[in-house]
Amino acid sequence: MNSNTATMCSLKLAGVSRAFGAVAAVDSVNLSLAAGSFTAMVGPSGCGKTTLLRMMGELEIPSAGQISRTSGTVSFCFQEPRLLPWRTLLENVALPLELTGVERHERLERAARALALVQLDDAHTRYPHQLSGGMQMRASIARALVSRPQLLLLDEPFSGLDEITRHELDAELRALWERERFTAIVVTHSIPEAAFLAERVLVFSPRPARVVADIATPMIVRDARAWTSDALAACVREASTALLHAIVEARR
Amino acid sequence: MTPRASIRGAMRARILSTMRACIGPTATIVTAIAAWAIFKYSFSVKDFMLPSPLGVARVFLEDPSPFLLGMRETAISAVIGFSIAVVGGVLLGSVLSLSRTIERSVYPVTLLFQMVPLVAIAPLLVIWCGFGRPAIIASTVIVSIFPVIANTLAGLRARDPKLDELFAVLGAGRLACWWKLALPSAVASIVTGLRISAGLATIGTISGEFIAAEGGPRAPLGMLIMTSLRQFQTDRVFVSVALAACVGFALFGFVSVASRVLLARWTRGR
Repeated sequence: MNSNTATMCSLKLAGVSRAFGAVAAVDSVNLSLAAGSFTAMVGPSGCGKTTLLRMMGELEIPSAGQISRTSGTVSFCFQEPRLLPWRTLLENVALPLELTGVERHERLERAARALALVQLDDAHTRYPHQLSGGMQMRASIARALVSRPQLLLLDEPFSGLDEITRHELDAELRALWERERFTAIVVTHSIPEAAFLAERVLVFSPRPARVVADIATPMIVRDARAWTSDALAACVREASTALLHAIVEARR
Repeated sequence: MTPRASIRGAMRARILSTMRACIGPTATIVTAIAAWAIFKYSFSVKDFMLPSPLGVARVFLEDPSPFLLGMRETAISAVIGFSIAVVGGVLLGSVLSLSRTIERSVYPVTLLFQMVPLVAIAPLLVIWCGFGRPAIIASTVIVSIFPVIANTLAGLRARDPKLDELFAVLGAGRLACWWKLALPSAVASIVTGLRISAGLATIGTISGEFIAAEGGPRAPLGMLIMTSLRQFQTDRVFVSVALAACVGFALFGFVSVASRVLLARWTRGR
């Protein structure tokens, strides 16, 4: 279903496998992800989707196969916020720039802008432990965005949060992507979340992970905030149902 | 309550609790001095064996200047030696943490070094550094550096592997990982090492002074103890010992307060 040419391709996986000892986690995955696309990866717990994501982010080396991608900044958003407890929020968000040698004044300014993107304008001088889990996760996303990545990899970023906060952050992430148009790949357990966020959903088999379904979700949201809640809810519901059908079909 | 008012309230509460904590030890000291006086007078112990508390106080008050000068000398050596031990210990601990191989080959040797009695090395220090301050400082460093090395190493090793991974994703170099992640993570552990080593530093200084100090008007406390001993001026020994204890206590107190301030910032939310 993906007809993008190689030049448009932001990320290309050819026969990528990964084994931990005798256990195969990922089994020869072939994928081609277009630049500026939003892809969700769903599948049963422990199936190897996270391993695949980590290989995309070069946190893990494939046992076999190749991952090639066009050059550009990559950001990784972990399942937990992973903020440094001894730094203020602003300093935490500025960290990626600091490590690449961006001058202090500029990096703090950019960090402040990234915090504004995730609605944390008023929390610059707070320390992580003074914030709720949702705010910490927002800060973690701001830190991932501060280096203006071309590729954003998210590993179940909101799974530890309550439903309401999670939905809020999903909407924010989606709006950010609309605006910035980075290539986004998110691993999630939640079918409605996948349906809401992504244009394309990859369904994985139980371990070792293999793509069993590659589904284009209807482009439900152009600008999620412009929609009425009823229309949005109906649309997500519809997309979720379609996705669920596809998953069940793929299992047969 | 405004934050500032709450800070002031917290400070007042802390001062009050500190004062309350001092009542017990003060009572113990007063009791000990009283017992000392009673023992001395009821058994009429000779002055050179055990001077009276009043006699000790008199010796000090009649001419405090040699004691205070000696205290100053001792304090300077202790502070310089301790500072070298802190910086050197953190650096050495960091170098050791760079690789398992280096750690395995060097750490046991530092342990062994720690086991050698200082009194046995001290004459060598005199041969290498001559009489005077350098040998005394060297003796201070030798005694107090080990806890800093050990705790730095432990702290650097105990950092959160998830944060390590974050730094790897962000493409941080080795130096950046050390300075911005490992060292801040290790602060709590290093501070524990500093407390232990602050207590040891004065011991190292006084021991060094026993062997390597020079006499004269600026004789440090260790030297005063030795010369007073030779002349059976036990009351002067008592004064010097008490002042040496003060130096040790001051150093330890300073490190404790400084570490509390530092930790308040570093261990937020942990």
